[in-house]
This record gives sequence, structure tokens and C-alpha cells, in this order.
Amino acid sequence: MLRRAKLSALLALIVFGAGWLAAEIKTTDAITLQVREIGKGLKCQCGCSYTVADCNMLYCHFRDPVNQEIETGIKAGLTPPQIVSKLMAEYGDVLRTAPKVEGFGAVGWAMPFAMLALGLLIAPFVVRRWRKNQIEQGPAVAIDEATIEAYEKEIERDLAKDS
Amino acid sequence: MENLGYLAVLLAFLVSSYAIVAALVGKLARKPFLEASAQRAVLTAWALTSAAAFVLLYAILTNDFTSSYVASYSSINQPLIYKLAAWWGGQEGSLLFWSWIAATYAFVSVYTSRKRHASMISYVIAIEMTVVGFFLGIVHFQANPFKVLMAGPQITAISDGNGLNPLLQHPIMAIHPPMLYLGYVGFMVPFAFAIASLITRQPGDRWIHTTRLWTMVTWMFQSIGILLGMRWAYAVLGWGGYWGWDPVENASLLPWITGTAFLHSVMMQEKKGMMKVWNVVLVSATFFLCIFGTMLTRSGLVSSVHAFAQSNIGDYFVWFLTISIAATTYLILSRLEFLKSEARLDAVLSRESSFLFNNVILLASCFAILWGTLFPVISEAVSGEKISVGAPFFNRVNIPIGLLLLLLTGVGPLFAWRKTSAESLRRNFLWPAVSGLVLGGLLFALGVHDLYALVTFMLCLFVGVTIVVEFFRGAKILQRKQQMAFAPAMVELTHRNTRRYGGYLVHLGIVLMFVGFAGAAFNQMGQAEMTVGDALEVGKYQFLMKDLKEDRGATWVASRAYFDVIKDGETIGQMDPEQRVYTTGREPQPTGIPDIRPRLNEDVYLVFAGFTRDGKNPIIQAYINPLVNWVFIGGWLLVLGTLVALVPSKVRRSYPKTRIVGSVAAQRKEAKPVVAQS
Repeated sequence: MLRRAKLSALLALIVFGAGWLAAEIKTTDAITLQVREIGKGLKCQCGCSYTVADCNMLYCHFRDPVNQEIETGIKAGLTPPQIVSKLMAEYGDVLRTAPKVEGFGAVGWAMPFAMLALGLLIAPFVVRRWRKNQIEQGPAVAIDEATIEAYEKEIERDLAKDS
Repeated sequence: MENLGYLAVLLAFLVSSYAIVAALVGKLARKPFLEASAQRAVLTAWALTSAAAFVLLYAILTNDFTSSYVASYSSINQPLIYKLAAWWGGQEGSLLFWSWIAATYAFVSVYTSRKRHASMISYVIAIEMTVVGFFLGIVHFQANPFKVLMAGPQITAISDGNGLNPLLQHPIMAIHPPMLYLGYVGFMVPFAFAIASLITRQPGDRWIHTTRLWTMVTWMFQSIGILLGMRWAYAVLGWGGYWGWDPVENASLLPWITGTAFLHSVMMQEKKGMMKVWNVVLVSATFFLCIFGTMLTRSGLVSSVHAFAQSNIGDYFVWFLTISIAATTYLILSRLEFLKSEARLDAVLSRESSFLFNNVILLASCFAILWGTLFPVISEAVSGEKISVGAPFFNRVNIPIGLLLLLLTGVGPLFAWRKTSAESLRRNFLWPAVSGLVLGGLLFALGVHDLYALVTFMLCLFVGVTIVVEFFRGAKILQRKQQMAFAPAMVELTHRNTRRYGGYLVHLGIVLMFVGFAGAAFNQMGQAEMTVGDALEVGKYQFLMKDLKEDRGATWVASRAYFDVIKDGETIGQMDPEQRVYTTGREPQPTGIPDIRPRLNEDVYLVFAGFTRDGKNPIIQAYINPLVNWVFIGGWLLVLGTLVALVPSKVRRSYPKTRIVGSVAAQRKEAKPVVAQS
């Protein structure tokens, strides 16, 4: 009974939390959001070191017209990649905030994931080696009952302490 | 006075060099008096570095504008707190500050550990004083803050200084750099102990304990430093964000990540005598990344808005790093035999394995950030093309890695040491997993379709429930056993094993931070040129401009706009962002001072970006940042958890270590090794 009450409370909490969260993060102005989202992928050229979405330079000669172009593109029904391609054609690769997925740029993208994959591939071998140590270290010398009991008591004591 | 400063730095450099020689010769030639002398030299170097720092601070506080450094970074009307901050506001002063903290760490670590680690303390001195001496050498020969202004052969003075960069004139900036430096420099101590233990072939148990404590303390400072930096960026820079993946920001994160990995894997060495090589590698990598970060900030290797002026000191750092890494690698390779694991793994599904995977993912994240930071330099060297790498790259690469890590944050602690049964897995994971899935389904149904945000919320609940259940179960058992109320049982539980439960609090802090990170997917922004009576609408909010006034301080004049904040037709408050122009010294520099209305659900963030070209109307930017405060709340919970973990546990733990002591084939049905916990 108590368990069911606890579970119901947890579920009620999750439902309430989800409702609250969804209400808080719901957005209203889809165009502004899309302009911002696309702008996040373009490097501002005013020297601010931010993206077009985050540049806060007053009268930025670059951000404002680019944002305008993005908005026009969205209203004309272009997809984000099409808008980005159009801007790249107009301003060049300086707009990139990330390497191209070709040439050495592809290496740039692949390297972090390759390292993660390598680590995750090696890890099982390390685990296997740790387990193999068990066999290699294996049985040492036969020991008497008193010693075994002493160790078992020690284990019980340690486990009790740890619980 | 400047001469005294010069002399103090030079003498500190010479004494540090002496300490290295005396410590090494004393140890190798078995001359105890030389070893004792090296210990005193550490104290002397600290006293001399402190004297140099005092001279610089005195010059700043007394407006001594014969000093080139004071004239560049301070001014007469600068408030006291920012005069103090001027110490680390420029390249030369900050390097002296670095040296002083390093000398202080060396002094404290040597004098608190010289008896406990008598056999290795001379090597610790040699290593720490090499670092201190290196920085003092840079200060003395390359970036001396005691230069004076000269007019021909005459020392001259200007009437007032340029003052500290306006962006740095924020209370957080008086605390952020010291905290960050305490973190950066502090990793020198664990590194020194690790290397000293390698040289002396010390068994791991004692030095690893000392190293862990120092790492936790410095990791905590580093965490506070990073958090304050994020808060400063959020409160001052006026772009509505707190992390821009700038190279200098990344530089502070790299050692923090490897330090985090070490704090996890060190448990393997303490409890099982495993991962010894890995731990030495992690401690060393953390220290080298600290030095690398310092180099990145000061050498102009990569462009950053946070970097100090470009200088040629980068070459010295490269040499220092190259020699140190080569020496450390040699030492590790030559001591591999001594670093062998003492125990073995009993089962794949165990806490041991989870630590290994945790380390792999942390290191992958560290590599991704380092790679992205250096990619412009690498691509220029390889292809001749300098490719910019900004937030989109880092987000795309690090978000999946971060989510994997978040998953492990929940999963790892639920695995038992040695072996985890399927039944225990089911018991521990069922409800957290169900909770996460239910939340995900509900959010999706309610219209939250951003994949990463959705997964983050699900994982956050999953991990949060696992942690809360751990606390709850433990406290319940204690409540029953000790006949005490639930809240005291919770405190008692934590006090009994501060390290474990402090760690859980740290994890809970990370969970809250991820909630805040996910909120960024739903940020909104609007901008408008406004006059009194105009309204700007962003999301659910409307900002009605009521007034525009001027204000004046000792070092600045400001234009302040006053707004009513309206939500659902109801005025819920007032906000007044301003644009401040600092009038002292250097060219007048306009700085936006955002007004933030912080709430747990979302921040309303208003920026006075400037005036229209005719100078009449303000340009206002408004940001709505959902859940952003959870990033900072989580960060402070992380710090609290670290503090809890630093409190000694009520129940003293000997951390039983597994080893095989013999076989009992004759006495038992099946031959099995006897495993001892010692």
C-alpha cells in the first residue's frame, strides 16, 4: 500500500514537473528562433569572436544584414542548409564556425569521435586483462582453516562497515 | 620601492634555484643538513615572493604612477576592490600572482607533509621549486611588473593611470582569477607528490591519500573559478550566455576534466591497488594542461577575447612543457614494473569497470575540447588554411559525449565493487529508468521536440532519482537502526561516509547543471531601437520603456533606461539596464551593464546595447533564458558536495583492498581463491 502511494507520488511529481517544464520552455516566435538557430552556426565578422546569433556589437555591420537575409530566406521557404549555402556563397568560408566535412576538416570532425571509439574499444581489452590477472595470480599457497576464518571475519566486518 | 620589488623577485628566483639543488644533492648525497636547508629555502622563497607582491600592491594602493604597471592598470578613483584586482589585471602582475600562489602552495605542502612523507619530501621540494623558479624567472626576465616610466634617463610619472579594463570592474572579477589560479597552480602539488613517489618507488597508499586531498581542494577552487567566470560572462558581457567555448575558457576546463577523471580513478588505486599507471598519467596530464592553459592565455597562440596581450613568453612555456613531459614519460616508463596492479577484476559488471568507462569518456571529452581549441593552429600547419572552430563544433561534439557521461553519473555509483548481480541491477535501475522514460514521453507529448534537450531531461531525472533513492534508502536504514528522525538520519548518513555522499551531492550538482544547459535550447531574443513609451515583445514578455536618465559615478557616466516588465497583461516588475562609459585614463569605453531578473524557471535579461546613430534612442536587447539559474545552483551544489567530501568521515574507513592470499581447494567443495580485504 505504502509502496503504491510512493509510486503514485513519484508519478504525480513527474507529470507535474513535465507540465511545468514544457510550459516554461515553450516558445512563441518561431521565426526569431529559427533566425537565431541558423545564426548560431555562422561566425560574425565584426571582430567580436561570437556567432551571428550572439554578437552584441552595436550597429554590427555584419550581424544585422545577415540576420535580415536569414529571415528573408525563412519567409521564402528555404531550408536552413539552403540559407547557409546561400550565405556561404555570398560571404565565403570565413562564416564557418566549424570545419567543413571534407579534406582536413573531415579529420577535424572525425578525430574526437574516433578517439572516443578507440577508448571504448580498448576498454573491454583492459577489463579482460584485469580479469586475466585473476587466473595468472591464481591460487597461491594452500592455507589453513584458521586463516580462512580470520579473513572471512575480516570480510564480514568490512562489508558491514561499508553497508 | 620598485627596486625592492625587482630585488625580491630576483632573490626569490635564486633561492628557488638553491632549494632545487640543495634538495637533490642533500637527498642523493645523504646530507640531511642540505635537505633541511632546502626546506628553509622554500619558506624563504615564499617570504621573498610575498615581499615582491607587497611592493606591487603598495605601489597600486598608493597610486605610484612612476610604475609602468600601476599606470597601465590602476587609477586614482578606482575603488579599492578593483585596485586589488589590478594586481592580476595585467600580464606581468598576474604572473607574479601565479608565482606567489605557487610559492604559497609549495610552502604549505612541504611544511604539512615533511614528516609524513619524509623519504620523498626533498623530491617534492625540487619539483615544486622548479615550477616556482620557472615562473619567477619569467617574471624577472620577461614580464617584470616593477618597470618604471622613463623620460630619457629620468624616472617620470603620469598624473593618473589608465585604470583597469572596464569589463574587469565587476565584483566577481575580484574573486574569479584568484580562485582559478588557486585551481591551476594547486595541481602542482599532486603532480610533485606523484613524481616524487615514482622517483623513490614509494608504495601508493600514503602518497595517493595526500595527493587525493590536494587534488580535491584544488579541483574545488578550479570549479569555483570556472563557475565565477561563467557568472561574470553572463552578468557582464551582455550576450545572454555564460560559455562561448573561447580558447581561454576551454583552457580552464581541460585540467578540470582530467582532475575529475583522477578523482574517480584514484578510488581504484585506494581500494584495489589498480590503475596506478593511469593515475600517474592523469595527475601529470592535469598539471601539464594547467601550464598549457597558462601558456594559451598569454602567448597569443590562439586568438581569444579573454587573452592577455600577445608576448614571446610562449616559447619558454613550450620548452618547459616539452622537458617536463619528456622527463615524466621517461619516469613512468622506467617504473612500470613498480606500478603493476595489485588486484584483479572479479566481474565485468562492477564499479571498477564503470570507473574505467567514466575515465574513457572524460578523456574523450577532454581530447575533443583540446582538439577543437588547437584545430585552427593544426589546420593552418597541415593545410595552410586557418579554420575557425566555434561553439557549433564544440556543442555538436561534446553534447553526445556529455550525455554519455551524465548516464554514467547515474549508472556508475549503483554498480557494486567487485560484482553486481542482475537482481541488484534490476532493483536499482527500474524506477529511475521508468521515471526518465515517463518524463521523456510526457515532454514529447507536450511539444518538447528538441532531441538533445529531451534526452538531457530524461537522463537528469534518471540520475537524480538514483541519487535521491541512494540517500533515501541509506537514511531509512539508519533511521530504523538508530531510532532517529529522518532528517538527522540523512545528516548522520552523510557524516558517516562524507566522501560517498559528498560525491553524490557533486553528481546532483552536475545533474542540475545539465538541466540548465538543456534550457539553453529554448532561449529567445529580441532587439529594438526604442523611445519612451515603446514596447518590445519577446516570448511571453513585453518591455515597456518608461524613462531614460543619466547617472554619474566617480569613474563613469551612465545612461539608464527604465522598463516595466509585463507578462500576460500584468506588470510583474521593473528593470533598468544601463550603458556605462568609463571616463578615466584610456579612451572612453562604453560598456553595457545588463539588468537580470533571475528566477528558477527563467531569467529575463535586458541589455542597453547602445544608442542609435543620431545618439537619441537606446537600442535594447532582451533575452529570455529558461532554466539558466540551474547551471549556477548546480555549480554551487557541486562545490558544497566537494566541501562535504573533504570533511573527515565519522566512521573511519580503511578502504579494504582485495588481494589473493591462498587457495582452499582441500577445504571447500570447489577450488576458489581466498580473497582478503586488507
